[in-house]
Amino acid sequence: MLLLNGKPICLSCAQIKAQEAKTGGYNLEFAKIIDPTICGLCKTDYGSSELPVVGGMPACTNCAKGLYERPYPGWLKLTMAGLLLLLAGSLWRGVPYFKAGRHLVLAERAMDRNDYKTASAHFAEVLKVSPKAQKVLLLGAKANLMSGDIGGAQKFLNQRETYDSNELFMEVSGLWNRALNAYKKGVEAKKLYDSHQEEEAARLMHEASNEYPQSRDLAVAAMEYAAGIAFDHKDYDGFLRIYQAGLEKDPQDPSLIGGVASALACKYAVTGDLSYRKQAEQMLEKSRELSQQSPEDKARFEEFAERFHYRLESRVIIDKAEYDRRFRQEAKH
Amino acid sequence: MFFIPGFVISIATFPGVILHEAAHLFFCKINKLAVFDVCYFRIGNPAGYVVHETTSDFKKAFMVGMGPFFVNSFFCIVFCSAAFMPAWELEVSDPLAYFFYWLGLSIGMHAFPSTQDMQEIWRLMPAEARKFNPLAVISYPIVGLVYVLNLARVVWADLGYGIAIGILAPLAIFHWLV
Repeated sequence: MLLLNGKPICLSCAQIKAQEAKTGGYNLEFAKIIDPTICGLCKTDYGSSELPVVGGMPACTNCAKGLYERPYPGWLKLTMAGLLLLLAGSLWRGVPYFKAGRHLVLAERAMDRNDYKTASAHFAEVLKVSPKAQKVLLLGAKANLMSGDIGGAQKFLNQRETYDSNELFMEVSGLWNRALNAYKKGVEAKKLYDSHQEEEAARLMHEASNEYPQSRDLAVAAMEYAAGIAFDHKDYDGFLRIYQAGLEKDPQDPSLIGGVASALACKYAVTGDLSYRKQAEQMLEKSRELSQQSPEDKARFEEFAERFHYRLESRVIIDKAEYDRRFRQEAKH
Repeated sequence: MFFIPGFVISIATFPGVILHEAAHLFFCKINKLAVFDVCYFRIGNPAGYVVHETTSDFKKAFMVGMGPFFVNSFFCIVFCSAAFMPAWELEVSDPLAYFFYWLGLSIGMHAFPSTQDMQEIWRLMPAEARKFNPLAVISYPIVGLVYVLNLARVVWADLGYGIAIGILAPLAIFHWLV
């Protein structure tokens, strides 16, 4: 039974009335007669007892409880529990990824503040977990190139055979080509130097250093070649200026400090001015202290210190080759 | 922009539908609203539904309507957290990571409440806002945004949202923690 305008109407009559309304082009609103004593869900007739209405429908206590406490199906609970367990396992298994990710974040931050050495160390850690990620490899190569370590950059770049072309790739590729070209010039300059074409070697090494200014090796070589020419020309002021300029850039380098000490010793040898001698000895002591940290620096210092003392005591200026020829080869015999 | 029928997307991302409906049910239960019918997933439109008692309590209507948005967003971030580092940042081929990415993005894609979900909020919101109910006041931009985003589903706004919170949120959280 339904209700039409507050009056009961059976289903067959309601269908006829609805058809008439449709033909006549007007609307009729039918309502379902709800017996408040019959549960809308389990259809149990509770006689004269009116049931509470839940969502417009009479519902008995048992059915109402079910409506308010509808449980989650077992498959859903099991699946969710399984997924959360799998997630926990995956997070535990992913600890190396998170550690690598931490290094990646720290590397990118170091790159932002142009601390390429730190960035390079962090990228090397990322590489252990992610040996193929283009972004990691290119950024790692860039960090190495920017800190002047072309060999370190090569290690990163060799991890992949091909790279997708993008802005970072173009940047790193440009840097790499420039660095490689500079190193080729550096090798060429070394050959010239070894064949006693010092002037041409110094010019080429200077060019190489300018082309790849991030390389400390090229910068030091260019400086040493230039200082060597000043020394050969007995331009000890120039010799001193070159090493002092180098020392300004890297005040903790024991060999640069040794270079300044050597130049000051030359000045003393030429002028006899004791203030130069005093400064030279101070610089030598500083060089000695700083060279203790590495066996190579220590060996280099000891070799140089011997010649330095000879220069101060004799006030005779000779280069290493001549010193070796005069004193060290004799010692061997 | 390419068109993929809704039922195909629903099938491909069914865990999101299931969780969305489970969240509706959860908020109905904690707000003591009767639930008459629940469909966690089906091939059709809508892909899932919860038929529940209406309420005149705005807070309850808000929780039931918007609850799945917060629940799905939360689980999207949680599941994608296990995947974003190897799959996105480190480009490591890890099947488990890809599985969690699919799961997280599926869940994130179904975070938006449907317009039907918002009907109760929409009905009660003006009267509550006039009473300066803060929840109703902040609901205006949220409801507006959800309506716009629902319309923008045709241009994959739901996938965009899933990616945004599945990738960017774990990434932002990780950067913040380091």
